[in-house]
Amino acid sequence: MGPYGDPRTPRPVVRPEPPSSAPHLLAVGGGKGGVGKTLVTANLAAALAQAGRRVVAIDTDLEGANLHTVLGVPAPRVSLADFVAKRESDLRRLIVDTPIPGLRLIAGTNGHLGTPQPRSFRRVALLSELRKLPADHVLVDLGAGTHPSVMDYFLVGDDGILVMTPEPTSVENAYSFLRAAFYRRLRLAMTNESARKLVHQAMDQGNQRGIRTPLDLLREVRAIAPEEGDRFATAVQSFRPRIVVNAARTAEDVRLGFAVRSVCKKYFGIDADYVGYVNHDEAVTQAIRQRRPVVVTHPSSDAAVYLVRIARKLLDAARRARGGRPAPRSQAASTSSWARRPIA
Amino acid sequence: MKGFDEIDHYDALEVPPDATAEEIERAYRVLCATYAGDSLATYSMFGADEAAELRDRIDRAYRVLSDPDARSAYDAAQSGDEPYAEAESNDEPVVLAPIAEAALAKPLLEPRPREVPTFDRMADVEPAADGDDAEWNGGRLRRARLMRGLEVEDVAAATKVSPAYIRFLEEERFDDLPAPVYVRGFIGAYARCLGLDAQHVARSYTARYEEHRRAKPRGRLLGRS
Repeated sequence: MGPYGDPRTPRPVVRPEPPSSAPHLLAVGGGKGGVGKTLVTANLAAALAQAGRRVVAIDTDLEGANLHTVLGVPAPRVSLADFVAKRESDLRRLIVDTPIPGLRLIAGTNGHLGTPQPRSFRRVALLSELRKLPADHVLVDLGAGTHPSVMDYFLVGDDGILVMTPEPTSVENAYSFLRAAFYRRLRLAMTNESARKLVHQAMDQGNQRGIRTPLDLLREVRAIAPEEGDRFATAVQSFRPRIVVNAARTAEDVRLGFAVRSVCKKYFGIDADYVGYVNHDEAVTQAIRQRRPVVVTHPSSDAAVYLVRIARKLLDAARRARGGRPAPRSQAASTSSWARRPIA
Repeated sequence: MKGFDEIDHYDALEVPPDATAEEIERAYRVLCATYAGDSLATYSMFGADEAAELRDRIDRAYRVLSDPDARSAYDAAQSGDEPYAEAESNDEPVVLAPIAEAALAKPLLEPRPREVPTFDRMADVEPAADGDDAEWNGGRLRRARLMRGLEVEDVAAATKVSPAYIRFLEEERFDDLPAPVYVRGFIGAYARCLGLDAQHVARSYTARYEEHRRAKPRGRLLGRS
């Protein structure tokens, strides 16, 4: 039984009520490696910074860190690994500048090869530290896979972005990722120990109880603890992953996002948002070689235009969630650089 | 959270209860593609049986909601006013012919972008188009096409412009394009197919093209203008 099967392990607080000054936390995951998580993180961060927001991007992929490289910080002097190794307990002191004004970074380099991820106690500390960062937006770049630490970073965010490419391998891993996040979210929401056990059993896809879908699980949970059923439903409703389809080449690829949204509804009963797609674009490769985000190097390329759109959409959604109003178009046009660009 | 067997027809098609006939058609098309046998979106998520069950559920919903009489009877029954008995299913496949004609073939040639499938839902992804006064270049045309869910081949079929030229137009390979008068025609047809203001788009794009030709002497020599 891993650390998360043990009820004594402190459970990370999912979505604590942030103080009004706390940053908007945006996690970017996707399950599979190489689908563009780092690309999306770097560019959304840069686009938000270009719009005049204070942004900190943080690389939690300690085993395969390269957010620093695409942001043009070749050798960061400090990194998240210093926090994991307890050399530093204040995340704020791990922030380094990037060449992009308004965008700063907590890199993921120099990790301990044996224990790359923080243990659960340290992780809880890290998650609450994220909320204290001096920024309007904190973007968390996640590693591949469905390790509990990856799931916690994803779930603690105000927004969780799921990046996928139009390939069966990516789609398959994106669903495993969603499944893992979904069950973990539920498990954390359950207060009844037997209900939590049920969720844990359901996470085993070959479980003997015949729990195959979230719906089966809900029925089982209701049967043993009716009051947990409502909590279950609330947890499901509050789980709203945002889908980004990367490396789209055809209109069919673009439509994948809608199809996945439908599958999320039909299978999990969750309302996923399709926030946009990024098309396959040579400019992205060139930008990586220049070690800068494509929204900075090739602002009029298709990929940059799409990424800026996604950033704007997330910004509007975050403002609405905070009870604010999205910036009116005319005002946005006069204040932000992206609005001046021609957008079809 | 409900199972396939418990959800109502509107949930099955993922449309609101006040959905228009057009929205229902469009939703049905998206779902047909999503739960088709070879669909990428259901990969690893639904087995063949489950996908078939879902398709069946979606078809049943569509049969009722696409028929105004059946739909009002269903609505009345749902609100508890009248008993409702679903018309005996005669297991006839859902007939798509009228929509295929109306929504796919015809509107492509007419400036009615709202009837192009998935356009409205695409608009959810795309914030409202701004910068309407901005110039029309190849990238913007391509983005407008993708936003409407159309492939290069769809546009080629609707405009009778070869797919190669459509790509050249999008990639702004000006040296591979014919004289401006033809390009203007191509762009006009392309813009109409997307439901855009053909004159405006053609003027904007052709201006770019002619500027390029002026800048490159070779273009003037080879061109017939």
